[in-house]
Amino acid sequence: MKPTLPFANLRIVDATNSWAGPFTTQIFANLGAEVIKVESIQYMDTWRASGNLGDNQDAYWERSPLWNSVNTDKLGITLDLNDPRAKDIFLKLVKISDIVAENFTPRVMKNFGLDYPALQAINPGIIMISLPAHGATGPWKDTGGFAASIEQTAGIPMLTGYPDGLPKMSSAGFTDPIAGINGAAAVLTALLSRQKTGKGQYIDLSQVEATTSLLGDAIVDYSMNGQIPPRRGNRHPFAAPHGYYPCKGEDKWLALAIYTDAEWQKLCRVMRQPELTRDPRFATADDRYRHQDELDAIIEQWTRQQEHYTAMHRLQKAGITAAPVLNPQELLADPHLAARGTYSKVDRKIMGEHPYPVPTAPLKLSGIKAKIKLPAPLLGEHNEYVLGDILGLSPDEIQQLAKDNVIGKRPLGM
Amino acid sequence: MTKALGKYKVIDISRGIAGAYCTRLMAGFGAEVIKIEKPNTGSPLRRLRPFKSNVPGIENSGLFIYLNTGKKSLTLDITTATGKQIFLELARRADAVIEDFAPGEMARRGLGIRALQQINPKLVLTSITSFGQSGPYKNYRLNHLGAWGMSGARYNDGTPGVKPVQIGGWLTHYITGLFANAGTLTALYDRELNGKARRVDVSMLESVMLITCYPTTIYAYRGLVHNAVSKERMGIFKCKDGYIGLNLYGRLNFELLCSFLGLTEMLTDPRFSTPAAIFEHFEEARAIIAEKVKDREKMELFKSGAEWRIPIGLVPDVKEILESPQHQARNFFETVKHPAAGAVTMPGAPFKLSSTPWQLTSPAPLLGEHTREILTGELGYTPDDIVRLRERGVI
Repeated sequence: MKPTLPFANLRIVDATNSWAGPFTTQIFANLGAEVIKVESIQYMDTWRASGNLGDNQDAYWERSPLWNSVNTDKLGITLDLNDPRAKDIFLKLVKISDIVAENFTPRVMKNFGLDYPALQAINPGIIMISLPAHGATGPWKDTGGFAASIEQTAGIPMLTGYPDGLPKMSSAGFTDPIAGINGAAAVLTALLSRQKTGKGQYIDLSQVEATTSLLGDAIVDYSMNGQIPPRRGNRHPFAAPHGYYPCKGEDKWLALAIYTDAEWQKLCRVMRQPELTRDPRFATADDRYRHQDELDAIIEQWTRQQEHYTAMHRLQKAGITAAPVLNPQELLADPHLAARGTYSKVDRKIMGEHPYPVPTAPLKLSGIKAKIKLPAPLLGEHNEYVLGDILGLSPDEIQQLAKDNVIGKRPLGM
Repeated sequence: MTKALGKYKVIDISRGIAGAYCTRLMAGFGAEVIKIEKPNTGSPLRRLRPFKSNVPGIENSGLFIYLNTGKKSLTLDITTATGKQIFLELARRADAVIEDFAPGEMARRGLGIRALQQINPKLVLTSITSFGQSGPYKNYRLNHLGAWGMSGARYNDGTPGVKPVQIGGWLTHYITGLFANAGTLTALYDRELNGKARRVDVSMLESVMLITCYPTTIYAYRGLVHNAVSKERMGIFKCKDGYIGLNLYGRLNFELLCSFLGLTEMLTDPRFSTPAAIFEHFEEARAIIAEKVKDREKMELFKSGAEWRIPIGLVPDVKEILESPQHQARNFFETVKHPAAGAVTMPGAPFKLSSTPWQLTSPAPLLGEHTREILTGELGYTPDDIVRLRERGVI
């Protein structure tokens, strides 16, 4: 049968951890690739402890909301790569795979004897992607990094927050998925190249560079004019009003922005304050920009009486750009996202059924209803399938590996 | 040199940052990208900051230059019958079209997916919108502020009741462009293998939500609306000559920091004895630390912190980023000479491919710079046609 999902013919060996690398491979897994996530009982993906703070329960490593959400649709095996048998298994997998992904600091794969030249020697078509914090070369290559330090180093905080306050972090850890989606694009670019040449290649993705690339205009400002763009709080370079306004209820907000005179007049009508359209302080875009503190106060008086969702519907129907700030509960119940299949429910052992974001929801392909088919794997869940069914190891060999702690299903010492 | 996307021709009729960033990545890896702009006024990006010498002008926008380096510019009024005809001729020869009109607008102009795939069944169409092509909000619009707000990103920072703050720059638009790029490449790959050309429906809201999705899964598991994990890390502090970031992951980092700053009394203080206690007394903890770092220099803190194995981060501004020894060693920045703006230094490859490297060989195009070349070339228009088209305002 012809594969129906775009990546149904691809197999990926996934030695990544935390969120960046796993997000790269998750895009492929969600659209049909067989992704084999490699951990070990000596060294689990550290992200298995992420976000389950305060839960002091059995098998805590299976309870991370974050790990469980970014490893859906993957198979999971354990391999202690310090053991020559494990390394041999890893290489056997590489031989029958298309892509190898990892995001250690550069020395790790080299120390295992699993750097790109070693992999290419056994499979010239293999595409290998590394996503270390600072890239695979340069003086900082061995400096590790976490989402927070990468966000700082990439330059985002100096452009975020109020001009008279501290630089602000997103706190979303989002440089990981930013690097991750770049990684997916990089692998796809290499795959399209391989279609022509039959040859794989090595991809060196610095999480910092991938993120700083999203600030190109600010970099160019300094290059062209020697000036450092200011933090602008919730302001816009020329549109006003522009900000988050408090709504009815506790901690409810509405994002609202006015770009043109026509929009301003519509806003005055929606707020039932037509006299404002004749107020000279707000007549033109420049006037509104100069008097935006006064404008904010006027708008806030109105928004405090409004439900944030209702205000969005009324304003959007009038042609004004407005959006409620949605909390997790509201996101999970939002009718638009429900209609789009943005979240997908899946049952996972130990945890039960929960909704998870569909990793390819932002890039829907016609003819494909993307959903999550498999929950994130338990530690070593697919050892028998991958080692036995795919690689042909005998039950005795697999049992011996388990006895020697080369593979396993519980972290050592737990 | 080999180009990974060398055989692809891409028509970019988008107006925003997302579409332009999507095709920037394709141009960098060798695709031929033709940017279609409105005659006379050009892409709306040309009217956005920064401007060379702070003087607005159609050829002066640093944002436009960054996003469109390596592309060609063709002016075309697709609301005219001839303009539409020319667009269809371009689409017939293209592999992908990238657009960001409101849902249904291309179809109303007779340039929807059906019309396009009728003349070119192998054409991938990538459509970028605020909310996607379907769903109850599909005709609503989002901007940077709205997308960041609606995504729920602020529920990462554990500050209920405090007004949210938008993320800096135009990050949400760029992020949407990244998903548009990955989606377009997925569709091209699928076409190579399965022969089927798909429509890619890219939604800004879903793009931003996905990369800030911590809180929804945590809520689904634990019923927590405000995820305050980030508070453990302490965040950014003012020091003598700038700022530093403390990125404490786990108790060990906290203990090391307290010893490093001579704050060992914090370790026995019940207010800071557990992560939960620290969350509760977060501002007090920050105040004590702030007092200790405010008179120290950032480089000294960064370097001695590294010796103590405490994850202290520098918080560079764009000038310091341009001077980063790591970026310089990796040749991350490239300088492109632009006929109007002069030499412009900008980020180069967002990722490095070993045998098909990034290469942008031409500066961002002047408005309509390649109109004549493209029309008289493979489309076969004569110089007389060009004059007539120009007089009628089609190009």
